[in-house]
Amino acid sequence: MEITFLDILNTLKKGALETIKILPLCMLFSLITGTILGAIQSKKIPVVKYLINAYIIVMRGIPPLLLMMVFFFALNINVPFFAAIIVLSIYHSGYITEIVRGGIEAIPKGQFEAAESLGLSNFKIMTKVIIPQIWYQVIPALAGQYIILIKDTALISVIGVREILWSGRQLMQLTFKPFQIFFLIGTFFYLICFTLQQISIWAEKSLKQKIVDSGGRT
Amino acid sequence: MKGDVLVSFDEVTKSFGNHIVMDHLSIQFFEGETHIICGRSGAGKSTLIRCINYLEKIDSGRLNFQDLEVNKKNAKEIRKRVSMVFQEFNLFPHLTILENVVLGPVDTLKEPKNKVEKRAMELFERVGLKEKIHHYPYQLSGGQKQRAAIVRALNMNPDLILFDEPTSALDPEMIGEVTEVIRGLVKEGRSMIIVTHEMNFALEASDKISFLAEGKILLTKPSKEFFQEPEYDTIRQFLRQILGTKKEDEEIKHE
Repeated sequence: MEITFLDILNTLKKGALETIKILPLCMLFSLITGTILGAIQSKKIPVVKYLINAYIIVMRGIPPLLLMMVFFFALNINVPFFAAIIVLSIYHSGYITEIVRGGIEAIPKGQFEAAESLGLSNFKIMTKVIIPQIWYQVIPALAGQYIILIKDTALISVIGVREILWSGRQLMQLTFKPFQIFFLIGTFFYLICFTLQQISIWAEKSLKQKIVDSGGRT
Repeated sequence: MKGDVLVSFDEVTKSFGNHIVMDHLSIQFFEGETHIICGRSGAGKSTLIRCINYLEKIDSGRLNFQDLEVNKKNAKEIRKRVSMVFQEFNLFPHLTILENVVLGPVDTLKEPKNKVEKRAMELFERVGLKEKIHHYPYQLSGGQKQRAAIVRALNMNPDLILFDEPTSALDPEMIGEVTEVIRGLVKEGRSMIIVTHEMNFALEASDKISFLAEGKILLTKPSKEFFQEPEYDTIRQFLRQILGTKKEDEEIKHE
């Protein structure tokens, strides 16, 4: 049976959908965890500070593929889909923690003082006053991190997730058309990354006006 | 003295490294009074008022606000009763000015949002910002921002308002619109402690003026008496400089 171009597209579509299912969950979980840890880290709580630092150093120091294998084979998390989400979220939240901490520390001291003088709790100061203001500063770094995350999803085929690269490899063995197949896969990743970049540029511009155009005095 | 003691500093010390800002300083502030704190730059005027709502921690001595000792444990309760207006406004840039003003009473005082908004609208009307409530801080002039910051402080229904150089970050033509709002509050008999270099405003609008130098309160007098031949050289020099500079500014303006 001959495999047509339409068959190739349909098979890649199934893989792409799997990638698209995993991606927003990883983005969301890594953002939530990274934001919480970044906010805690900015408080410089003695022992906690070192624990979070250790976590960041470990995540920065090991390849994501190794972490994936540890979770899947050593820790025996046998559902590839969940193992992939857990690993990618944990791995990237290490980086996002540092991005968020940097964003919080860049907020002028007066903003913290104004919120404190209103009697807001530490939790509310962070959630209602400080965190909403950091996005303008951290969007470029965050978008960069998400682009790496998007590309890292290609690694999860190693633990058996039938994402787009896995589908591509299967197709290649049947069609012997590696160039066309990998070109399509490359285009898929490029389009997602390009879209994300455009969204980040738009978001940065619209937030910049609100937060920076006040000449520093708000 | 208009009423009961609101704030009392008793032998309070505070230093930043080797720099002593308050050296066994004692002073009392009373209910219903507008009390101006003046002194040279770096004298510790801002630190003094920031200690009252625990934005700064004292090193030793006793500092009380009403029935509460100012410390970490009581900070939240004190901040419910004491509002602050900052030199740099410090409005939250991601919120409209109405949202800025509503945040404190709803989240800290647990008041219903519609009640707080209604009160805020009345206050905005009083300071001439009713049309701007859905604007973000970056859409306002300096004077408008400071008026919004005053509304944010007032909407907490505080027993005391602290003003930390409320006009210092403003262009000269905007100072009047802010001092006008503060004058209105003086007429209402609000308790206020104001750090300012606007000595003309201090003379007209305050009940008392204190001069801070070398970590101590050098002199506290009713405003009118403060300007009549102060017995300290430091104060005379300070007044000459401040009032002289103002005069020069005005002359330049006229030219």
